[in-house]
Amino acid sequence: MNNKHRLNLFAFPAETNTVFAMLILATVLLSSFMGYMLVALYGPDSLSAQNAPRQIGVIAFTAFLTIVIVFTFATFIYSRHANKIRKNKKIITITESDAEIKKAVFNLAQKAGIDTPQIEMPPKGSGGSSGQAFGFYKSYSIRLDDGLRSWQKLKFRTKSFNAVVLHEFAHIASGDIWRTYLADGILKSFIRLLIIPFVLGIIIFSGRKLFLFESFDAIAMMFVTTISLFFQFCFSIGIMTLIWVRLLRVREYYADWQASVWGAFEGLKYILQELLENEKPTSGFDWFKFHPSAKMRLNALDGRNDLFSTSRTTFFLAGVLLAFMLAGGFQIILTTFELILNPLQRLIDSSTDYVSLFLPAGAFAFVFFIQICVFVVPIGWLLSGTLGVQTQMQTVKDMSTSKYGVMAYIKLGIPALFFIVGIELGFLGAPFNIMTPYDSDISKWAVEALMNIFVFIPILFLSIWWYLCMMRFISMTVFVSQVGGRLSKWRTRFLAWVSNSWLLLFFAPGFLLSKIFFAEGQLFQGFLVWFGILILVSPICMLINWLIAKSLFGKGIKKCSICGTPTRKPDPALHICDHCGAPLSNWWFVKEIE
Amino acid sequence: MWNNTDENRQLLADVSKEFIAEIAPEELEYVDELLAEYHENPPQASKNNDDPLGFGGDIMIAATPVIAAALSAVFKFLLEEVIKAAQTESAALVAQKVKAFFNPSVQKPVTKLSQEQLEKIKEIAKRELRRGGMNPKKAEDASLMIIAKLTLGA
Repeated sequence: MNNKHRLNLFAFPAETNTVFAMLILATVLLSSFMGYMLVALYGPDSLSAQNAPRQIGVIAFTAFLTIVIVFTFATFIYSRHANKIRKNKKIITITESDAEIKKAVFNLAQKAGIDTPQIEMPPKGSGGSSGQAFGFYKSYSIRLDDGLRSWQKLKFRTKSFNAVVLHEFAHIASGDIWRTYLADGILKSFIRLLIIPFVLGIIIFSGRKLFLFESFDAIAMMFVTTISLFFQFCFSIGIMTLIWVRLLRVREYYADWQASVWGAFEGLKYILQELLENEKPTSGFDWFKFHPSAKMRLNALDGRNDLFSTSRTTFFLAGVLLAFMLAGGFQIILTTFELILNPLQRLIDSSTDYVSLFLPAGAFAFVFFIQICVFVVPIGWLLSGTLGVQTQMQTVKDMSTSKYGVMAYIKLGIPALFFIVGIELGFLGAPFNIMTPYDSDISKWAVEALMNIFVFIPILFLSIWWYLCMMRFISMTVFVSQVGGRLSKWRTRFLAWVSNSWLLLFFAPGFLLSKIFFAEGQLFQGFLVWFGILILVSPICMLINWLIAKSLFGKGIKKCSICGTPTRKPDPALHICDHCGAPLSNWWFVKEIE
Repeated sequence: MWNNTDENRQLLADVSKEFIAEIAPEELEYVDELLAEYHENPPQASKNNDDPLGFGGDIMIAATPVIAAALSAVFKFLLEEVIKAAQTESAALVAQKVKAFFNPSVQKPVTKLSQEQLEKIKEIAKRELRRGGMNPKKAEDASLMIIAKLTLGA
């Protein structure tokens, strides 16, 4: 394999890990919101002014309790997964009769630089040539099928044996185990704990309305709402499961790549080729399969299906999860902070002089700031970890093929569009979502929907596209001056700062403010605030970040990491060393262990 | 049963080696060991595992046990054909007659196989080879080789 043609996937943090975090957070927030809605379904019809603080407290407590219960049950499911695998696959820890396997796996673990996990195998004669990584909290195991006993003995199959073991090691090394099985636990917990109370709640709620003999219109509306809520609930679960499965599929590419870096390229290629020849023609509906097809894996391994281009799927998924997080977190965070802000507001209202106003007003501003941070910071961080990282990877790929033109910036509009489609679909799919365009009055609904399509979505699209362009521009400024074998931590941190500063200071507040204005029916004010922020302030942010990048990373003499010869080129990463001919930016390329 | 006799095992080893030499010559070095394993634990049907964090599928472990399984199935079929003609003969003679099918130039088979029987044998062999995880092209080639051997001999 020619290293020069394989860009270094591991120079960047894996964006899929961030999407995993988004999936977990979105499920937790949706759980809390479902808890909130359970109070609404089972509780009194309306809030009374007298006991409002108590009811807000009950809602906040129930939401919090729901998170705790869902998460505790998820952790329980996660902690049990290893035993479940052991039982289903009938595997036990290998004994001295498999000493050779133990030795071979130990040697491979040394090569990969990881602690040797526990090896568990089924009894002899059960066949199979696969493996599986699993385990709870740093106590990891790998399951090896019985066929690997034979492979380990047959000299001409050693590479295949190594490929399977190293593939599983790659899952351990990249932290896939806890993410995968915890996400599985959270999804199962969400479904098992909430679906029955939710359906019962809807039935009781509907029964109560029917019993009260409300008007025919009200009852019809209630039926429509109930059915749509149920479909939204199923949609949320379905889409989150789909996201989880697709994430796992991407992680398989990463595991193949990592195993290949550890020297398993030939073994992997042989197995995948055999799998390809055995693959039955499918109907194309393989959305819920955990592994990509052998053909796709082979293409990825050969660099034909590259993982460096901005993935439309990842952008779409990030958009859906962002919508779920906003839908789930928006009301619940606002409600919880109301508990603190309401008494402070009353103190402010009852203040008679500046002295008695000063303290509650200061406290109010502080709590309000914390509220925004609690909501915006995780979202900004998660978007930086997905959209930001993907843009950086695309930038490196374009730099390696000398694509610097305007077209590369224009093309960023496509992933931006997928992100926005994801957000809109996510808002439509999240149950009880106040951000979904909805009104019982069809004319108002139509106006809101039209405003959404012709004003809100274009502004959202422009802001995301503009963000991607800025990330590309600053990334290029940072990358062209990086020579040597690895991308420095400071540059990675700086790019994270650039992304976060933009998202936190401009995108997220603008987006949220506009949504709050929308929710209150002040559409024009919402657009004005957001668009104003976008046009006026974000270019200044970009300029400042560019100047910082130039002054921090562009100065100083750079040296070739191979022969030490200095270079005075302003963009050394794009050149080879004048003395030894090696690429100055060898951090772009994969280094493999023989 | 004749299937569990030493004669059958020896016959299976002899015939298997001829095929392995052509289909998977790299396994010749290990053929006795693999056949011993085969007799102890016959190969299971190839699974299509799609476990989370698994490898994503199973492939054939080695050709020897798969070929042995296919030949065993073919032997069983041939045995039934032989039994129809000679129900009372000894195990050694039965083995000799089954072997004769694979080497008609040396030992004349008791029964000449019809086109229909050959088709059936090809189908049996191919099914067993595929069940053991051999890829479709190799399975087709190997089953044709078995038919060729039965009709043309060495």
